[in-house]
Amino acid sequence: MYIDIQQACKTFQSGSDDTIEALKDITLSVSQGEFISLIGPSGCGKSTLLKMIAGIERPDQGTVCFEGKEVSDLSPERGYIFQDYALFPWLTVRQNIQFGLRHKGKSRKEQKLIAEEYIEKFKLTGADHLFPYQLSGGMKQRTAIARALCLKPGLLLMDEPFAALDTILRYKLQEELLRIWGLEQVTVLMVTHDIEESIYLSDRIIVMSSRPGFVKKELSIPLERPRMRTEPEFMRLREQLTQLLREEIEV
Amino acid sequence: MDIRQRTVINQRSSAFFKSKGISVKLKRVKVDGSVFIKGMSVLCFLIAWHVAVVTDVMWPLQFGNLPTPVAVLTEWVELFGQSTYYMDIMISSYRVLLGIILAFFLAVPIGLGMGLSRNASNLFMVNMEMFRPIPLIAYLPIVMLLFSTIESSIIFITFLGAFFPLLISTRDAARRIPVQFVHASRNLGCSRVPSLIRVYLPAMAPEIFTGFSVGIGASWMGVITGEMMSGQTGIGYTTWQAYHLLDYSQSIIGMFTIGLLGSSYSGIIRCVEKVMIRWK
Repeated sequence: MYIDIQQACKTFQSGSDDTIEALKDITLSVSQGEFISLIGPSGCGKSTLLKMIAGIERPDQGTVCFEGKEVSDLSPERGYIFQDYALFPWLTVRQNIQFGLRHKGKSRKEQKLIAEEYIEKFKLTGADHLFPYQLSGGMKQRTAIARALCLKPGLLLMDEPFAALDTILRYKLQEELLRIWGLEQVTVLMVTHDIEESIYLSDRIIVMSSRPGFVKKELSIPLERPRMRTEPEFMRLREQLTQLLREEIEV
Repeated sequence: MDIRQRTVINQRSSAFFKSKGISVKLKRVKVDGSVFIKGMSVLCFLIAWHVAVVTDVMWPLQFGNLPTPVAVLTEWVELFGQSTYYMDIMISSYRVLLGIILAFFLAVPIGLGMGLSRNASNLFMVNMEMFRPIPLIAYLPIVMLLFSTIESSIIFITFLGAFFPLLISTRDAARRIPVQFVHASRNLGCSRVPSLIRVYLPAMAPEIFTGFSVGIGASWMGVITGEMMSGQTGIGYTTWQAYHLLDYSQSIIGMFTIGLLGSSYSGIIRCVEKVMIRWK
């Protein structure tokens, strides 16, 4: 298995002797090339799960393995897109994209070429000399994804990447993400709370329960791409997911 | 055309441009207006000074003892032709520059360490909190004992002036670095040591600059103090020496020179900051 999570648990300390059980017995497998959405009510620990796969958090019990090895630290093999993108504000778009290439042992010339390639691929030409504060939300996101993907990670982890965007832009960037996914052959794991988004994008949706988070249901999406948000099967799945999530909120 | 006339014309033309919806010109007119007010305020100060001296005011302050602004300015203009004046400025500036460079290379690494590690913070904290509130002048006796030359003790005082503000602002900046920058940098393959240069320093740069502008002010005060108390050269020494020689014009010129240099140093720091931090 590409990603293999076995009975992972995570508890957080809150206050002096209060603990919050964030994740409980998470068991999850992901194959290479899949597009997976993690969906669940807010506070269910889906971001924590994503951070565990990235190596930002460590499970208290259980194991998180990536390509057969236990995850122990952040690594460029697992690109992580932060919710607020975490672009370095003191670097231009080009410099941000180029940031990681230096540590891959690329020559200066190669770094430049790769950065150029990704600036083009992500339609950032003309904006390459701008600083993050001068960018729109969509451009920031494209820069963040380009910065991670130019290091050729096998896996792309995204924490609610479209949460802060308006609907039209969100649709556009979802298309964009699918295009990149097809182009780069990465495995994508995305945290979202948008049901429609998860159906539109994913091969598989992992529905999580509210606290403590565990995998409530795994749902395969058999629809052909490009998908139509109005086709009957899409609507049926949306209804089913809405029902599943509503149960969680009412508990 | 005197300033007042020009302002009236500018005000008229500003109304004209406003009606035409041209805002670019307006900005310049506004600057002219503020220059006028600034100029007037300096002029008023000089006139008040002149009147106070000429009418020999002795209460509550003894303005009668002072030279008139005209006398001071005349002597100042003469000084501009003398190399000793520039030498004094150069010597004092050199001391400040050296002190602040030393402070930078010591305060930034220590501040960074204190910001990132609790142990490092504990290690320096108590000593620092004891030495920090001591006014620079109070260091002088011991510093004179510690250093073999007067020059090095003066430089040490300027170093101290810049050291603490830089240390505090670096430490606080290091503590405030958003954690996602650290994560992002590791996620992009940048390990801890290179990230100090590539991530921590640039992220802290704006606050370090704040420390710099506070520090250079303190450093400047330090150098003047040191020169007045123990120096044989520099603008502080000349200013104090002039008082003993009853050359009060020279003392006033010294004061003004110190003030002008102090504010130009802050200006230089602000300029460097603007050039280096274009991303805000």
